[in-house]
Amino acid sequence: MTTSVDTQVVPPTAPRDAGEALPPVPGTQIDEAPQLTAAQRRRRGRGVDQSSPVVKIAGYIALAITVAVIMVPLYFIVITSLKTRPDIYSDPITWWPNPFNPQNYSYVMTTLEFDLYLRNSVIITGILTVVKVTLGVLSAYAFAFIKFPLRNFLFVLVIAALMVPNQITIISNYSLIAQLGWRNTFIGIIVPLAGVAFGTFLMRNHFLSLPKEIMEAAEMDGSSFFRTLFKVVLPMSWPTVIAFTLITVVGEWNEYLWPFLVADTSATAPLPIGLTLLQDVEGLTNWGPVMAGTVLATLPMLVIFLILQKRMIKGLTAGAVKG
Amino acid sequence: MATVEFRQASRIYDPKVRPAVNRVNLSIEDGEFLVLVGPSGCGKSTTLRMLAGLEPIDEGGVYIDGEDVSERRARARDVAMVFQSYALYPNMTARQNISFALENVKMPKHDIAERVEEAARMLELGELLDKKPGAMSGGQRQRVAMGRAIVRHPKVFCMDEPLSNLDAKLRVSTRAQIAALQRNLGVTTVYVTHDQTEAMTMGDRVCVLKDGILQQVDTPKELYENPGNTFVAEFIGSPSITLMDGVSIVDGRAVLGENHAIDLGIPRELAENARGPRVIAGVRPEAWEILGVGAKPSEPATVPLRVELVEHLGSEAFAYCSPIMTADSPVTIRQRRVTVRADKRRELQPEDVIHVRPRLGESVFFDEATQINLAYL
Ligand SMILES: Nc1ncnc2c1ncn2[C@@H]1O[C@H](COP(=O)(O)OP(=O)(O)OP(=O)(O)O)[C@@H](O)[C@H]1O
Ligand SMILES: [Mg+2]
Repeated sequence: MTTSVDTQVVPPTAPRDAGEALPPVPGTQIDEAPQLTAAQRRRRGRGVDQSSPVVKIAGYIALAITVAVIMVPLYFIVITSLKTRPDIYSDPITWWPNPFNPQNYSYVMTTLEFDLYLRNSVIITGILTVVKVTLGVLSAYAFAFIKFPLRNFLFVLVIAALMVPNQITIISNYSLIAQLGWRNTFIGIIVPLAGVAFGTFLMRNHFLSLPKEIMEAAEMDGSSFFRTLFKVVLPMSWPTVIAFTLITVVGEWNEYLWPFLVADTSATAPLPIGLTLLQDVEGLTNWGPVMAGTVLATLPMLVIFLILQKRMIKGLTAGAVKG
Repeated sequence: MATVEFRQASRIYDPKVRPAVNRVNLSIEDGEFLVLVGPSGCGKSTTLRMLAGLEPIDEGGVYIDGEDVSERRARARDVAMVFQSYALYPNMTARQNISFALENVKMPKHDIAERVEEAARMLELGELLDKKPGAMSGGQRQRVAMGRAIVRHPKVFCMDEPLSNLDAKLRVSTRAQIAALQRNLGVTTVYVTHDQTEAMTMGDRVCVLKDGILQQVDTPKELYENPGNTFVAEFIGSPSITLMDGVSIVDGRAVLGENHAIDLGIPRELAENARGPRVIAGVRPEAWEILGVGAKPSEPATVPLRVELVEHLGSEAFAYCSPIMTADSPVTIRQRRVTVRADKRRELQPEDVIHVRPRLGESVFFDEATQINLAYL
């Protein structure tokens, strides 16, 4: 037989790459410089910055307006929280507190028990986030990778739960919690809020988008159910898990209606309720402490967002399958 | 070390359509390198995954070392798999990827380190061990995927087109490496590919599938020289064989052309096996002998062909020709195309007329009704 099919002799260690490029064969290449048309010259000039000054200025103006619309009210919240009462009402308005009055903060913290509201918020948000993320990841893992009867039906139920507005279930929840005597307790605030339809939905869809072959490789490698979750699935899922965590933290921190119904003392009520109470007490005349309370309620979320956003953006599946 | 056996094994995705793998019977010996080939969608991957335990066996059984493993989970079968996409764990370094399976069976740390070292030495992983897959080239990932399979010392290796993501040159060298590695380790291996060359060079035996049905299992040489049916004949070999329908059997000789002048040299026993007056004859490109170029034949008893296209491969050339048939000829040629291998010293141009004759005894013959090689009837 002399075809190429069955008699190809192969050196076992052929060179892996060909090394540096050699000069071209003499006579095959042209020595002159290549043509450069007007269009090519124009495109080349654009390498870094291709817009005209007019477009650029217009862009900056639009950007400035957008920023102003968002930032000016925020700026006023912050400076108002540092102003004395006469300063707040001065006409024309002042853009800088004079004199500085940080006492607003100590006033809300001590006299108005904001330290307690802050503590309650941290407890409620912390517990709810841990519970929701855990339940969300575990239930999604089950929905994605375990075959059990009625799986799809149950998943449709989960999605249906997403469609029902919270406000609809609130009356029955309230009567149940009141009967159990859970008003003004952490457990009464937390338990009805701990359902995780959204997280299950988000995480399950993410898990299903992971390369199937990696799950199969883990199965062939004899990895146990939970080891696969922690060693293989979660490490590829951090961006989604972190996004889910962030959404949960912000959502629970700002949760208003339900805590407002079941808690009305500084023993258990979270910050948004404290703010309402604060406004009731001081609101119509004394804006300084109200604004200080607002800043205190907002600041932790800003910090958490700044910490987590970088990790959220980083993709982690790079290199899993051929690339 | 293990034998593998498929016994009437089927995979039926949807009872309404034909099974993806249809009653396959196949025995693989201990230490054998078996290659599965076939056209796309013929069920190669499915067959392999049934052995690995990633695909259920809907009918029949799969046996490893004589034990029925059909209902056993993948992890309990002691089979290792190299995926086409490699499926490395992206968050782990090569070392962690390779030792993951060993950690799962709670092997002592120093044993794991030893095994990883051994695999790294065999596959020249060296400084790759502490890199993550994202920072590796395709060929490096492929070697890590191999490492992940060999550290387990499994009974069977399953490989699904492990070289298809590599460039042509790397594929050639890796092909030789894998074959050598398998021979050293002596682990029974089932290897899926759609690459002819891989199938013919790597396998102890090659198994050809079509539409989920096993066509033939044999050594590469036998498949090439004695294909079991016309499908295998056309599938194996590149460029493919020329099949001629309606070749007459006269007085125990298979003959062609005017006055039955060209004798294809059918062995006596085969001629007796023929069920009718006509058979299908297959002639490989290199079995045609070019006897002359030009309008007039220089010798009697030749077939005239018009050259349509010439492919120069450097050391040899293939001429794709259309036959110039007499009007009343009972013979038809499939695809109306005859492929002839030409020595590089013979300059052929399109539109040339060449006169060829099959070399005596180099043709294969198939039954007209069943398309099966007469030698197997
Ligand atoms: N999940 C599935 N559901 C239904 N049919 C499937 C499924 N997976 C594969 N098939 C069918 O089974 C047949 C065999 O598929 P398989 O993946 O084994 O082909 P293959 O020989 O590996 O092809 P290729 O060379 O393209 O990889 C195909 O016809 C395919 O349509
Ligand atoms: Mg396949």
